[in-house]
Amino acid sequence: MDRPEPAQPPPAGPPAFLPPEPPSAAGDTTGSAAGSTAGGPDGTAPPPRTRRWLRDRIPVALALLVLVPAATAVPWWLERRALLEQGTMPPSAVVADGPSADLAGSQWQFRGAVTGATGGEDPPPGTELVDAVFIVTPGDARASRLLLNSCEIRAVDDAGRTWDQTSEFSLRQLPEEVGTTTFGCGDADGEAVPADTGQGLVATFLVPEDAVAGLGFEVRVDTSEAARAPRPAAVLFRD
Amino acid sequence: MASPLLRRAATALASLLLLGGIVAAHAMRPAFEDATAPIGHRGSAHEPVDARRFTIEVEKVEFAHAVSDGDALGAGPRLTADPGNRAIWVVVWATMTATDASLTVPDPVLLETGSGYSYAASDRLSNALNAFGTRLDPGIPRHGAFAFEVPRERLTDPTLTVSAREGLDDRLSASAEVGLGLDADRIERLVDAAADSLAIEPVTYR
Repeated sequence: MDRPEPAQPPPAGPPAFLPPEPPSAAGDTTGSAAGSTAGGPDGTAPPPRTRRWLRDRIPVALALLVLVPAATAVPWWLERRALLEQGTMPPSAVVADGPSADLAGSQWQFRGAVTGATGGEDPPPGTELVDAVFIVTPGDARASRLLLNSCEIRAVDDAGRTWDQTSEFSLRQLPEEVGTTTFGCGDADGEAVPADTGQGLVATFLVPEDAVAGLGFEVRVDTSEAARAPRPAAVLFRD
Repeated sequence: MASPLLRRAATALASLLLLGGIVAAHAMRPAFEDATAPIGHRGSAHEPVDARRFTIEVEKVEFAHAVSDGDALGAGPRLTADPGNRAIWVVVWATMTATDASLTVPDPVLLETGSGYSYAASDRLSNALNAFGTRLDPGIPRHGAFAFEVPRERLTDPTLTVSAREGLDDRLSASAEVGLGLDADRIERLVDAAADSLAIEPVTYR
């Protein structure tokens, strides 16, 4: 019951969490008459005991300086990595250097975009029909499966707006050998593309007329067959 | 100065208060579903309502005793409002446009009434804006209707609530709450003028 009284002035003494009082205001020759913890108002150096107290806390302060940002950044980084692996957070697309790119073990070749091949029927007012033509060559059986199970193609304009494939004009007659792109990418019969075989694909988009000029095409494919961590990756092709 | 006993009591009380505060703060923590619920944007009919991920403009509200899918091949089955509870069809015509990505309109689309009841748009009309497969694309407005079967006496100050989302995930998607601006008089007049049957035309591009 005989603890020091924090609210009381000396002689009980300050509690341990406060810096110590300077030795004595009366005998102080350094000029700090106020008895404060730091240097006096006239800019003189703090008394030796205060300096030592501050110096003793430098390791703690440095540790906090490292630990507090780490305690924020590490969970952020771990969660971001988990979301990217799950595909909950879309992968940022790598812009293809030229018309070819490797993605998830397959070689993608962008052959260009065809505008207005509606088969005679007019597109809705203010819109254009755009077909993106690709040839994809899976490198092995695993790449074929990844293509069949996860490949998605979307159109992206300069402003970052994206369009999924349209089902309008799906009754058009396309060449027989064109593969499927609606639920994963496969051959004309919807089966996996055999390894080392080039498969032509046509992805069809209905976009506003003002978006046609700067249109790019993003291909997204899982890079892993793990159910909970498909790790999707994406490549963006531009005309 | 205060006696040690009094100080201890004060410390204990402060600790209890802080503990109580922690428990209260924990209890107020929103559930995951609430924290990630669609983000609502309010507006009113006859003006575009910007829900950030999409815009919606309610253009017309019609009342009818029966609705049906109308299309080039002739009308689909007629859905008659239940006469038992004096129900009526409220058909809300609207134009929706996605802002930056292709979206779908998930069920339920709701008509919330001033009396606190919510009615889901009928999913039996394949021409409705909320029908399976209707898609909103950036820069391409789509015009269509939502149809609600509502008992007349519960039809006060209706508000349309529509959300739209990318893929299957509706966490933090966008939702618009559009006040239809129908007061009791206007509703009465619309009920009196209700059509016997109304054909819902397919969703069109605008």
